Amino acid sequence: MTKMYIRLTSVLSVALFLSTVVLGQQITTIGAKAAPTGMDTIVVTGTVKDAATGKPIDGSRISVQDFSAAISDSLGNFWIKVPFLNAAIFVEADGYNRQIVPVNFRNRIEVLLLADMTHTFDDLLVMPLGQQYQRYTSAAVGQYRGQGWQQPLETIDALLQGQVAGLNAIRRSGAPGAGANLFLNGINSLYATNQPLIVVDGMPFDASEYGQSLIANNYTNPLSLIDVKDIDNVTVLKDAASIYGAKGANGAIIITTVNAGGQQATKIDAGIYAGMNFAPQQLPVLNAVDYRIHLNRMLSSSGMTAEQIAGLPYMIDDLSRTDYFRYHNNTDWQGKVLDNSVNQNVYLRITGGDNIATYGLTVGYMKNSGVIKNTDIERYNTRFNADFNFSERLKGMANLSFTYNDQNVKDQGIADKTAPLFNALVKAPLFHERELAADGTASPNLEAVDILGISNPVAITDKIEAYNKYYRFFGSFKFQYDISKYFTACTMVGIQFDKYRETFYVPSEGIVMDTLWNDIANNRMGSQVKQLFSLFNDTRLEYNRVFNYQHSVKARLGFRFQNNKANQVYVTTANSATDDLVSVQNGLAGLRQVGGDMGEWSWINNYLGAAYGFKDKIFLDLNMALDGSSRFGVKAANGLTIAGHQFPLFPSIGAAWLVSSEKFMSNSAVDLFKLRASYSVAGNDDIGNYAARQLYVGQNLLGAEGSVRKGISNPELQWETVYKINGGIDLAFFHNRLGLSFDVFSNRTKNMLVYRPMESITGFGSVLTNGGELQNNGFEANLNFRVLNGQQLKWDFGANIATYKNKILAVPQDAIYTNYANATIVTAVGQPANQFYGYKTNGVFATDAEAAASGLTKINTDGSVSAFEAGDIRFVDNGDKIIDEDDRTVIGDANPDFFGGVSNRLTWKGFELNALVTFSVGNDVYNYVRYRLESQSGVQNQLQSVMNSWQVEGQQTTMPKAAWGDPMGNNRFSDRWIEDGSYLRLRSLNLTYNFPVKSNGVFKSIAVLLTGNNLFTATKYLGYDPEFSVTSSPLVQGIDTGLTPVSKNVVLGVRLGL
Amino acid sequence: MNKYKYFKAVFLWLIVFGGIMHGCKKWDDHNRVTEEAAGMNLLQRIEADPELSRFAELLASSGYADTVASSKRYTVYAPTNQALTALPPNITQDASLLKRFVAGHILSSAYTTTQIEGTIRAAALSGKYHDLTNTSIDNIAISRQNLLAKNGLLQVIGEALPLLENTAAFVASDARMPALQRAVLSGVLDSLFKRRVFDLTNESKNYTLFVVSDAAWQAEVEKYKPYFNVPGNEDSSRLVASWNVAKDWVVDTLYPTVASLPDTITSKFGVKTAIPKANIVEVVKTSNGVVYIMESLETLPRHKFRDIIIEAENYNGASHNRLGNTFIRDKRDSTTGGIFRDVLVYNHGVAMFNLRYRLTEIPSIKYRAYWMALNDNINGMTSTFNQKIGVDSFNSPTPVYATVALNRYAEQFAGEFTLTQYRPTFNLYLTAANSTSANVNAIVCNYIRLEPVF
Repeated sequence: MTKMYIRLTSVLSVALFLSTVVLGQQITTIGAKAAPTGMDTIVVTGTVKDAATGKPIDGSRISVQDFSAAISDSLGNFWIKVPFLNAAIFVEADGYNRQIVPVNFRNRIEVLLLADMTHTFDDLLVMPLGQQYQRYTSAAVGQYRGQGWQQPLETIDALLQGQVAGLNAIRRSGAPGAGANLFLNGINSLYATNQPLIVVDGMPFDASEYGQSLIANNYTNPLSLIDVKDIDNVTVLKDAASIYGAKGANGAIIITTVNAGGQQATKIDAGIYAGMNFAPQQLPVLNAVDYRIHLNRMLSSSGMTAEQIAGLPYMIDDLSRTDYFRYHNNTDWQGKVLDNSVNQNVYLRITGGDNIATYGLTVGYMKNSGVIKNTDIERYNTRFNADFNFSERLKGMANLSFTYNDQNVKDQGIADKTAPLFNALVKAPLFHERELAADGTASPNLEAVDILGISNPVAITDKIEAYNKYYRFFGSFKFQYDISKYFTACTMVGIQFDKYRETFYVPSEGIVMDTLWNDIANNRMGSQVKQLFSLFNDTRLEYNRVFNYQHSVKARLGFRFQNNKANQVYVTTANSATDDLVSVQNGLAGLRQVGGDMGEWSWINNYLGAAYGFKDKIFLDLNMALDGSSRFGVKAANGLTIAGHQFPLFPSIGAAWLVSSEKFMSNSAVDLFKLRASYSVAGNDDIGNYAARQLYVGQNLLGAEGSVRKGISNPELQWETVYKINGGIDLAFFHNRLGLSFDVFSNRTKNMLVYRPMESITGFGSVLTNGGELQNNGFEANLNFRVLNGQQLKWDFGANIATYKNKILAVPQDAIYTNYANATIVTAVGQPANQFYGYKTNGVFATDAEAAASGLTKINTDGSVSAFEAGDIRFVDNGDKIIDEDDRTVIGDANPDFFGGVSNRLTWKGFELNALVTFSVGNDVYNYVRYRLESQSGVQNQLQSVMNSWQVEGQQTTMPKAAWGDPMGNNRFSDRWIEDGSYLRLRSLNLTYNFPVKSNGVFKSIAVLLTGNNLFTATKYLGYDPEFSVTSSPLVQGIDTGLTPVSKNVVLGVRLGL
Repeated sequence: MNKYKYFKAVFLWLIVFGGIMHGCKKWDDHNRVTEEAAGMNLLQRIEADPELSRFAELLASSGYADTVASSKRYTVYAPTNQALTALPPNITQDASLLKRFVAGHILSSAYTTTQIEGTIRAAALSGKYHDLTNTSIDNIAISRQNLLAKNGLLQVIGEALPLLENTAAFVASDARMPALQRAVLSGVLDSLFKRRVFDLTNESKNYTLFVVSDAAWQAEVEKYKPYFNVPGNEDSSRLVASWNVAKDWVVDTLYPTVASLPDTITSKFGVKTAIPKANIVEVVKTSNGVVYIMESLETLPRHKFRDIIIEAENYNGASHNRLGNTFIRDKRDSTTGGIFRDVLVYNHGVAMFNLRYRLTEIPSIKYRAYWMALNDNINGMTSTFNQKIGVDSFNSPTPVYATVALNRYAEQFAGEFTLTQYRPTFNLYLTAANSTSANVNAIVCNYIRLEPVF
């Protein structure tokens, strides 16, 4: 059947392809008639000069594509034949950026070349169907040139932060290798992925995590398998990703890795790095003195009498007692779990070859320790990329990589019993991490769970074992055959193969016992294996032709096929005999839980890409894809039905007009003025492998095993469809020293996946449907400016900024309420997708009279009514005098008002200074950590701010009274916990010094690099760090659950060229 | 050109430095206490108050300054400087007294007046308890309430809390205590009194104790001696009489003033004593109550000796094991409507079957016995039957058999007897008819009431 629909869609695509080719032929005819006579006689003269010094450049290469070429003389002068007076001349010289100069009806051209620019519109981009000059694209793209040598510890997703306008990269946490969640041009989906498609060397790179980690809130980031130094170029394609069909809804990130770049000379680069990661600044929790006062307040509010409290061992200050030292410490628990740590990296990269084959080979080792003790990631990676010229017509390419990661992790975020950081924050400073003798001598034994019932954070960091081993082979071969001058056929076959093994052991010593459904677990253990096997094929026919030097036609017709198999098996159990028996077979058989998941899915993408350029000034692009997927429901609407399966069509068109190449702009000071527009339709197939099918799940009833239906099937379940309109302007001034881009976009997601609530009579809670719709409108701007262009000193300034407004157009029952970490997030029609929905507060009642005057009450679960009293929070009421769910309102929005980055690059002699500042403004954050640390409802340690809590009648304060168990709900999800998460961060600062080397010396280059990350963050946010992203879901962004904070690090490295 | 680089470096450093300062400040702002006092400990708070400078000095000299600066929570009832001018010099001179005095003003835990409903009794660090209301401590008004501090609260009082002994100490050693009653209370009867009446050393409670002059005491004991006649042992008679006099002259209610005293008190044992207020000689306040020194006080024998009620189902023994024939019944009283429980032994087949009741501490008086016995057509029986009360023996000659009438819910007179001696222990019997016939020799009884006859 698969074959059948391949055939059918192929026929359709071929028809489209042929029509493009025919159209091209017709153009040829028209062009031939219109061609001016005597084209050989048009000669343009000019000079090429260095923009910094004004000195002529000798030996610069001047060319008109496929027509003529020249080289400038010692005075920089050249003359060259052009086919038309509106042709474009390419000017290139070693050490300078390429410049494409439209002749524009001039006879004489003065070209000022800039050296070493970070970005110009004449850069070559890697697009889905091949390379293209940015000048000539109609798509909205962002480009990032690899700076991996400066950032050896980063992952590419985190590295893209602040580099591309509209790409909101939010780092997941500060855990090594955690990477970032990527949102390109706002939010496109609520329940399907928002991550752009990641394509590495032409093959989709599976960057999603299948199945959760057994270790709380750890994200295994497949992108941590890629050494960023391997990356040469990244293109971020924001629209026109229709070519990727049902995977193109969120745009695409196209990564190209190491290659020789056509250079045959052997080039060897070696890098050695070592650095420090700095523990974050501690949160100001109570010290022992204040904590004991606080604890006293808490215990009093719990109803204990003064005598009972005074009799507690930590309240008795009697040195003669044998347990005095056990309860009278002032331990800095944060200092016990957070620590500065080291990182190191060695890397070797060799490129070279001959006229038959060129290659790029890299090997690397990295170890990066986390700021949480005993966490680290170790990576062994190698990559081999090669280009072969088998014959004049047959070329081959190989891209092979293998990476092995070995990671030690700890629970993070909401894991009250086992997360080291959370326990360090709430653990009473009165206790010590070691058992103490009567005279205060510390024993080597770790202290047990304290009498307040909180784990020993040092036992967590030292004794909990949690690690994973992860490897991936990612490799492809590509063959390309030039059928004729204009036709090329190529095919790529690749596989990716993952294996991920994870093991954990939570000992009994010092850790609070866990409650399982059928037992109390004094120790717990588990392991998990996940595998992914993915086969990919991309076969296409390419057609490239320029007619009469005026009409360029490029067309690609092909299909992609991907088959994926993923499986996951996990075992957890508990209660092995001693803490020395740590593996799963030692746990009790009765507590063993075995589970897993298997998934297989296939994707077929029949695509056509066609590009037409007229006289280097008008460009039209047409892309379309006809996609099939095993995930789509058989009754899905809006697709072509072929052999009983649904094939949605995803078209896109784009147009660009280089106004600056028009005659009327020939003498303008504007170097480039381009208008772009695109309309595209793309899909999102992340709807679950089997969600459209009727499923059965195992069910145990009174000892008998059987199967029951898992929900109601929805055979109409389909892809999400995203309609994107993008308009843009590109501008360049001052001999290309200043480049500007503006884009406006409007994205609309239809058929958006939502859970539709069901009547309870059905027996099911909800069913997955395509009943949602949302839109994103936004604006982006990008600026690159060479501020200083001196002979020695150069300063490149870059800035990008983006904003989007997200609006829900349709969801079931007009609103979805999502609960997470004690917060409620509302997704309501007419409003942004993810708004915090809770209570508004207005201070604290200072006196009982005030509280009584307000008349506010609360209805308890047993139906009784409690009145708010002095010291309680004054919640804003809707008028019924009862504080209940009806009083909730929107109290925050996690979407930023705008975000972006500012980059600076200064070069002076051998020095190069890079500074990247990133910012996010106007995003609200729910500070869950502070909620836990200011809730004053139990024995947990709290922030110093609780010393301000209300105590006596008339006391003016913003902190409510300490109340055991929080009977009045003062800590409910309210604007008390919502903060402005805006920040401005010195994301990275790099200083490189290139030593002068003798041309005949051993070293071709020696550079010393010093890089600091996150060195400075300006924010009002009251937490370790304002950046975190607990899951990839857009609904729970901006919730600080206490993941390992992003922290400072410094790396010093040497790069040697041999 | 180099100028720019310099400028940039300076600019960057400014940002970094500014950021660090900014980072510190955000927490300072957030953690700052709204009212300055909330960040001061009690010692700092007291030292900062000009009206309390004298008390601050006493805190320092008594060694309690560190305590109120520590990380536990306290309520300090601080007397004003003016209140402390009247401080007896012996307190300031005696280190241990001073410690006790100061400690008496510091209470563990924080007591805001708004939380106090009625009167609560709370311990000070001296071990003494104080009565707290929402306006006062031990009836001393709080002049400035609920002054905030980090580790507790400060209440300013216009009068110092006096150093007081407890009632037991008054009894044992105070010169005003009459000797005879002291001899009894703190002598041989001390532990008995503690166990069965009240422990007057307990600081956490309040007691009102009445003591009388030696003469009055003597008269009262003499008055009761005949009721506790131990033949041939005059001392024992006096001792038992003394005990019985003493136990009813203390209550665990605080009557701090004469005006607050009722005209009659009721002891723990239900014995009423009229209080002739005119006879009050002196009222002595102690740390756990008050002692009234009286010229005389009398408890009437008819108040002292109350009816003895014996629940018949709670018998101590039976003449024969007839558990199979013994029924403990729950019955509804048709006259009162209440439920009572009685005992019925039916068809036991033993002539003069009897149940034994062990009574203790029975004074030597004449008693009239009544029972409530329900003969409610037991097992279809329509006749009456006889049963009797036996004194010391199941077949004592008196009282004689009495008839148990049919379906009678009221009490019935069952005879009378006289005890000539005080009986520490004493057996009473309920004896069946001298027959083995089931319909004749049943025993039934709800209770037996012994009424003293004077």
